[in-house]
Parts: sequence; C-alpha cells; structure tokens
Amino acid sequence: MLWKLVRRQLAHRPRRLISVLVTVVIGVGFTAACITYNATAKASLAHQVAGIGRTADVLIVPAPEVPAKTLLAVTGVAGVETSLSASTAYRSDAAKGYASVAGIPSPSLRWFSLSAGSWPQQDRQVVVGEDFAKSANLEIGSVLTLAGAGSTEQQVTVAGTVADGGLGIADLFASPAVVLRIPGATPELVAVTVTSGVDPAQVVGALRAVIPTGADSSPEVLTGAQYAADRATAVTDGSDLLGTLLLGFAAIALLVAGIVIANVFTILTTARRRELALLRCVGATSGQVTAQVVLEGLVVGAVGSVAGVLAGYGAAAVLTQQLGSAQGGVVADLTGLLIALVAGILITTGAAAFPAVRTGRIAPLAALQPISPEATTRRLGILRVVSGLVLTLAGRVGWCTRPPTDRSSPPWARLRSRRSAYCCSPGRPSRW
Amino acid sequence: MPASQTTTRMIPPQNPAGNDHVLRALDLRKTYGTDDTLVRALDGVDVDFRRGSFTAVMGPSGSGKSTLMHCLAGLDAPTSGSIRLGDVELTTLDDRALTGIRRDRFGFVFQSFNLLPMLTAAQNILLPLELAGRSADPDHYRELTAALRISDRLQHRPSELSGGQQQRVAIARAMITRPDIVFADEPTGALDTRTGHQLLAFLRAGARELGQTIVMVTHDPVAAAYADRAVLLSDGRVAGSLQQPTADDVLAAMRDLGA
Repeated sequence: MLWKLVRRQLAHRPRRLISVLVTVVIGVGFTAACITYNATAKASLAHQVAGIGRTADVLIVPAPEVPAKTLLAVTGVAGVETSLSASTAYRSDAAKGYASVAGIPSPSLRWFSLSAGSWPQQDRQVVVGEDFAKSANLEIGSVLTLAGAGSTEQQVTVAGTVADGGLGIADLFASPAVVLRIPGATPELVAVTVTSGVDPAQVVGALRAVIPTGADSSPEVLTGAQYAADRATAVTDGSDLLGTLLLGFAAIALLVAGIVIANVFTILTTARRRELALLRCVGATSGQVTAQVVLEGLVVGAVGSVAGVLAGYGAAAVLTQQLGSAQGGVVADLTGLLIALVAGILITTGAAAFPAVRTGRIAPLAALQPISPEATTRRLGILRVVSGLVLTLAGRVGWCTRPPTDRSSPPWARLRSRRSAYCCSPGRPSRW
Repeated sequence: MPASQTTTRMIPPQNPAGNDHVLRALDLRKTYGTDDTLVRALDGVDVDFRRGSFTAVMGPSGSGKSTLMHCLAGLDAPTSGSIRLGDVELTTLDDRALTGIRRDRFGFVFQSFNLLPMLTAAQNILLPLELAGRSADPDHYRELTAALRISDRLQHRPSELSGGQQQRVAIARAMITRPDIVFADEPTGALDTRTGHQLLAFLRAGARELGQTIVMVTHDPVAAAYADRAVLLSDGRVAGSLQQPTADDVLAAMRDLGA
C-alpha cells in the first residue's frame, strides 16, 4: 500500500524532488569520483613501480644460490630467468657519464615497450630508456663505449629506445653477456614463469621448499602481484595521505548533502502538510505517514546514489586518463563504490527520516486548516550548529596535521618526488 | 438497506427497545486557554445520534459546532466528558486506536481539499481500505459510484473534476468502508447553490436508502432542511433540536438564538 502511495506521489510531482536528487548525485558522485581517482592513482603508481612484477608470475628476490635446474624441477615452473643489473661509466660521441645497466629480459617478460627502433638482434645491441637517450644525446645507431676496468671495455650499438612511462627503469638494457662483463654485475632477482593454468601462489609454496631459508638475507619468494604491491608500498612508505584526504573531502560532501536533503525534505513536507494530515484523517497511522516520507527518501536516495556512482566513476575515469594518472588502467574499487552507494542511500533516507518523524506527528486537524507557516526551524538549527562545529573542527585538525613543508620529512618528500603519480598538475607549488 | 448488507457490516443488532444510538456524547466540554483567557468552545454538550439518521448540527459561527464535530469524530480531544461509539469510549483511546476508528468506523467529507491530488478518484475512494490493507467489496463500490454518478470520472485526478464531482468522490470515500457515521463539515460550503443542493440530495439519499448515519455541520438553514433533525448549538451548548426541519423553522430558531 505505502509503496503504491509513494510511487504515485513521486510520479505525480517528480520535479519536487529534483533538488534532492541533484544533491544526492553530487554528493555520491563526488565520493565515487574520489574513490575511483584514489584507486586509479594508486594502481597507476603501483603499475609504474611494479617493473618486472607486471610480467613475471613469481619472483625470487634476491636471486637465490640455487641452480636454475633445481628451480625448473619444481612442479608448475615453466621458465626461470635471472635478472642482472650493473652500473658502469660510459662514453659516446656526444656525452659521457654513468649509467645503470640491466640484462634485457626475454620478450615475454619485457614490461616496457619499444618507442623507437627495434629490439636487440644480437649481443652487441642495446635498447636505452627514453630519458637516458635524451640526456646522453643518443640516437638509433649511436655507438656507446661501456668503460669497465681495462680490458672489459666494450662497445654497443643503440638498436632502439624503450618507454614504460614509469619509474625506475634502467638507463640501458643489454644482453646478459654484455652485462656480465661489467665488473660488479649482480643477479638481482629470478623471474619465474609458471605453466599456464597453474596458480602462481601454489608455485610460491613449492619454490620456498627448495630455497634455503633462515639467514637474514635469505631470498623471498612472492608472486608478481605481491612484488608490485610491495614496491608501491615502499614508495609511499605505506601511508595513503592522498586517499585519506580525498575520503575526508568525500565524507564532508556527503555530510553537507545530508544537511541539504534534510532541509529540502522539511520544506517539502511542510508544503504537503494538509495532504499528509488528510491521510491521517482518513485513517493513516502516524507510522504510515512517517514511513511514506522515509520511503520517498529511500527511492530518491537509491536512484540518486546509483546515478551518482556511475557519474562519479565516469568523471574520475575521464579525469585520470586526461591527467595521465591511469597508467594501471582505470580501477573500479567495487567495495569503495558499493560503500558510496550504500552511504548515499542511507544518508538520504536518514536525512528524510528527521522531517518524516515530525510529519508523522501532524495532527489530523491540520487538514482542515490552511497551511500555517509554522516555525519548523528548531531541529534544523541544531543540525546547523552541530554540522558547523564538526566542519570547523575538521578544518582545525586538517590545518594542524597538514603535511610539513620541510623537504627532509620522508613520507611527504617522497610523495612529492613521486608527484607525477599523484598530483593533478605537474606544475603545482611545493605545498598544496 | 438489504438484510445481507446489514450482516456484513457487523454492527450490533438494533436494540428493540429503540435505544439504537450509534454515537452518544455526554457532558462534553472543550476549553482553550486558562483563567482570564479561558474560552469554552463546548460547555456541557449532550447529544446522541440514531442509526440511519441524518443530523444537521447548526449554529452561528463561534457556537462550537466545528469543535463538536472534531471531538465526536476523534480528530480533537475534549477537555472532559464522554463520547461513546457503540461500546467504545472514544475519550480514553490513544492516537493509534483513534486512527483505526477513523479509518474503519468513520467517514469524512470536508468543505474542500478532500482528495489527495496525486491519486485518481478511484484511488482516493479506496484509500481508507488500502490504508487498512483490505480490498473493496466490488458490488458496494459499483453501487456507491453509480449512485453518486461518478462512475465515468473514476480514472480522473481531482484537478480534472468539478467541485461537485470532487465532493461526491469524497462522499464515496467516506462511505466505502460502510462506516458507523459519516461526518460532513460544511460539505456544500465551497459549491454554488445548485451543485450544493444536488450534493445534499445525495447525502439524504445515502441516509434513507443505504441507512447511513450522517452528521453534518452547517451554518446554512437551507442545507439543514435536508436533514431529519437539526441540533442547534449556541455558545457551546445545545440550544434546541428540530425534527424534520424546514429552512424557515431553522431560520426562525436561529433568530431566536439571537444569531
């Protein structure tokens, strides 16, 4: 019965509730956008620092002192590849300096892509990172001398440049043979490829069994995804400052939306006073009248929240792509979006509940009287005062705990140095 | 009214001794304010209504007739006194119980704004039943709407109905639950004279043909003449009662009251 009445009410005067709907869409939309932006930015950062974690199924870090044969014998292991790294002086016709060198992974493990030229076809060919190519004035075909000590000097040719849009890429990728001749070359880690269809997590366990453990520096076996996540955590120091900040804003947006909704519902129910009193006259209980208004809130809250989540997600998707902060793809944080949806519905319904309860107390006799502009501001006054206090407090707390501007402060400085992954505009002032 | 309908109404059998009052008020008082500003809207009203009767409550403005109706109908609480609906003492009921009484045993027709604008005429008529979670007796519904000549207007919204049609829809809504009493508060107040007379004729027919007890508050002697009895109210007291009144009788009685 009540559903019918609510449906007819909403269908009869849909425009009455448009302001509520818009408020819900904005509040929930902003929240959904914050959640999506945060998840996407995080994934983007993780993507950028993940390196080989993106392509390898399982990683052993650092490379264990176990023969590849032993590792290959483990069930589910399809391939094993040691990743080498070194650092060396170099010189070319145009420049000289130091460069980090890594062994070029086999094609299936390359997490970076070719931006110009071609992949190396032979040992003496290398690919270089775009940034390095620029700073060392290298072009396709340039010859570089990697200066080791004495006789270990070797000449290589640039076959192509690579880009991954990310961080921490080596300056130069050379064949293992070249890297191994550089003094100090070390096996950094072992990338394991798993037989297709096998869960990498199972292989992790099996590999742990064949790798000696106990010592402090004993190798760690983890999946590519874990490796990527660990790297991301290491970069942000585990702190999620931006996420917390954004969610704080979102919470405030929802709170404000709730206040506006309560306000609008108060106005609407006051305008419908006679109508609702008439319902009481012809036999609606106080509870039925209250429930009717609450249900109206529920319907508008549900419609607005669904629209808000979709709009917010869409806006964040466009925004992150435009700003280049979606390098890990646009991420739909389903849990977060569901929370935004439920919060939107609950807040709208809750905000409608205040005026609804008051409406339920309307005397049936009010149907016989012209609409009296009865003062209905008391409760709202309290709401205003409380929300004002909360917002003021939130502002104070936010100000007091604002990030220090000192460059030596680790988390913030680190965040700032990774600004490309986080901030909206690269040209931002140092404190934002 | 056919005998079969009497049983479905589940009303107590009429007392053979003639004590067939549906509603009875004893020493009803309603005051507003205190001490210096005390206003006695009702000052010891004794009144009763027989089953199937059509009573007009008359009186000049300020005589307390609206207050009396509000108290009798459970819309307002009297300061003291007793109102008995059959075996039920209304003055001791809480809001929830009174709501149930209004829904199931009373019907209301107000001067204006009787109908919910978002519902069609049919939905408005069935509203009390829907609020109670019951369904209508289709025969009763058909008879009522046919008798009130609104059968062809049922799918229209109130804004698409004339004032007279709206009031007839309100009467149908008031009668759909087969209530013990229909209260009508100046039901013709917002209508032109001709439409008003039609409506009063419908009410009288309802009382005579359907055995519906009706209590109508009015200040119009011509309207009161449609009733079986006119109860005159003055300064919160019953000042007299006329059986089968004519408009002239009522006018004369009113003049005697100094109105």
